[in-house]
Amino acid sequence: MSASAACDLVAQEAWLLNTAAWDEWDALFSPSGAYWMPLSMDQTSHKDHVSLMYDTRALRAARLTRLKTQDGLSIETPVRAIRHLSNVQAAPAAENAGYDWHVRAAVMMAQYARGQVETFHALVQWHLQATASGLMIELKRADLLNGEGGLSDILVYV
Amino acid sequence: MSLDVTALIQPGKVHRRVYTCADIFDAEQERLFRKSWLYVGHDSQIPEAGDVVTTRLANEPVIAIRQRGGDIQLFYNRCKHKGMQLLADGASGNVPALRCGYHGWIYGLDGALKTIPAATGYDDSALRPGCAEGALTPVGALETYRGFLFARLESGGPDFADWLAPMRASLDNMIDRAPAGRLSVAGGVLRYEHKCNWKFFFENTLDALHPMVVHNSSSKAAQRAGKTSDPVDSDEARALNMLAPFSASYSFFDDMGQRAGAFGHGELGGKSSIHAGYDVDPAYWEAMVAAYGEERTKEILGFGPNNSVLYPTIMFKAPVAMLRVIRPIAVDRTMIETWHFRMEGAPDTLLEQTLQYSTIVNSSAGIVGPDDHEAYIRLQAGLKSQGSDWVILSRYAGQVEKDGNGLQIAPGTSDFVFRNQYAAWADAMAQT
Repeated sequence: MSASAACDLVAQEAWLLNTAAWDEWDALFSPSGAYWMPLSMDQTSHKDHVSLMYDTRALRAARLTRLKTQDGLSIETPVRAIRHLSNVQAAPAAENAGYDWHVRAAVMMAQYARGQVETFHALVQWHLQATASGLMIELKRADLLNGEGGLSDILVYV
Repeated sequence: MSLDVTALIQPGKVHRRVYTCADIFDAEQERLFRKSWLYVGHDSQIPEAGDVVTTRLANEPVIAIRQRGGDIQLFYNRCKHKGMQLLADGASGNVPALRCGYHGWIYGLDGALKTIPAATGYDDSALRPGCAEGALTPVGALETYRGFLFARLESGGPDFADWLAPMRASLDNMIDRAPAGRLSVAGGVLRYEHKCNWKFFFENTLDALHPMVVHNSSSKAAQRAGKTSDPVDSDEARALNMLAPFSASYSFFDDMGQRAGAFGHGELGGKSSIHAGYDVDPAYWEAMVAAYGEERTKEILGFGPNNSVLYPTIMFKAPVAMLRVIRPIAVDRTMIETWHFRMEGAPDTLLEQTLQYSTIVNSSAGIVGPDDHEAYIRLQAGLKSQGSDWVILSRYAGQVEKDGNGLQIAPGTSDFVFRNQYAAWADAMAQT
């Protein structure tokens, strides 16, 4: 595996989210993989501090079922989003980190919902695991610029 | 403003203007919020002398400061010189004194004016360090109840003990669930802005007719996800267990019951709640029994209000040690904060449960909360319509009993709790 393969994976991940290819997107996660959106940028755990989102496999499945069927008051009108990635950098993970590649990027997401576009900015990190079937996401962490204050609804994954 | 509330509040219905009229919102600030006991914070946020925390009460910026003698004082967050806020909204920390960042006026922790830079320019006035005119203005009244801080901006209004009385047992229950008998703020605070009138939030927290409709998709999706694969860990299993009861039946919520009392206070549940099925950590049970004995522990954990409202700004969830407070901004804008508490003496798993519930349910990126917000947005929009002037609150009219503790009880899906809120609202708004 190479750094460019790791960068390609996060670009592909954004594309799958942008095109609402939910099942293909979810398949990028390892069985224990988690999607985490902390409340605070300095947060070190989802257990001792409230988060905006912490979805492991079943919670992702529940959220994706709602998105796919548009079953839910907040998502029954079209919700679409486009994620713009920049400053994408990949590096091998530290020894004994528990994963193989660390990728980071700045992400801007424009969310279209309720007939309006709202923009969210985040620093995003991926912990990628090399497996027999390719790189998989062990953790995706999205730190919003303004997670702590006066947010409106975030209806899809950044 | 001339305001005929009798025309807005009728038996079994309220006029749509109570949610949509900006003049009524402005009047609420003066007649309701400024004269009510409002939530300031918790004393665990400012344990040491010089610790400060800021918030807003009825849109007024205030500072709570721990004094050197240990008590807490609350001041308007405004320099007496030019009026600048001494601390930015949301600021907290420890200070030796309060220094205005504009012209450098300095105040002691007790609010006394200590220093005026270039003071000779005021020789012809009474302004000088220590003068009464220069001291920070204290907020009308501040009360602490087992760590919770409440304030009332105006001198008129209910006595604190009277005001708390209808919900005191429920607040005690939240605190008593800590083996050490005290709570502390922990795990951060969620803040999100809802594009709606503040009343929708309060009605929704006691509205037992909406979960099986609004939250059915979240609950059913979680139940399906739980059946298709084994949970990855016990945390995930707990999360799915939290979501499942949101689609419980009408009879489940009716049986849960509701109670209401003076000042608009009320609560859903008590006989049961959507939290009643949570697993009890054996280490927590042992800590509770060690602290209280088995009989008292069963009594504390057996009483589980689902949501309790201290009208008009506070909702708390005793079983999950959480408190939500509204900060109304405009007739159609409301800031909501969710505070979380560590039950002192309990294992960490209790705080983890509280924070997990809030992440899944209350967060603006949660799998439950945004659907409530969507309902509020559409309510706000729908009630601007001239298609009909009235909102119906007549469910189970007349089906109310006394509970022997000064409260009245009704089936869980009754509109009685809302009628009770509007009776208090009308009383307050009738004052000039």
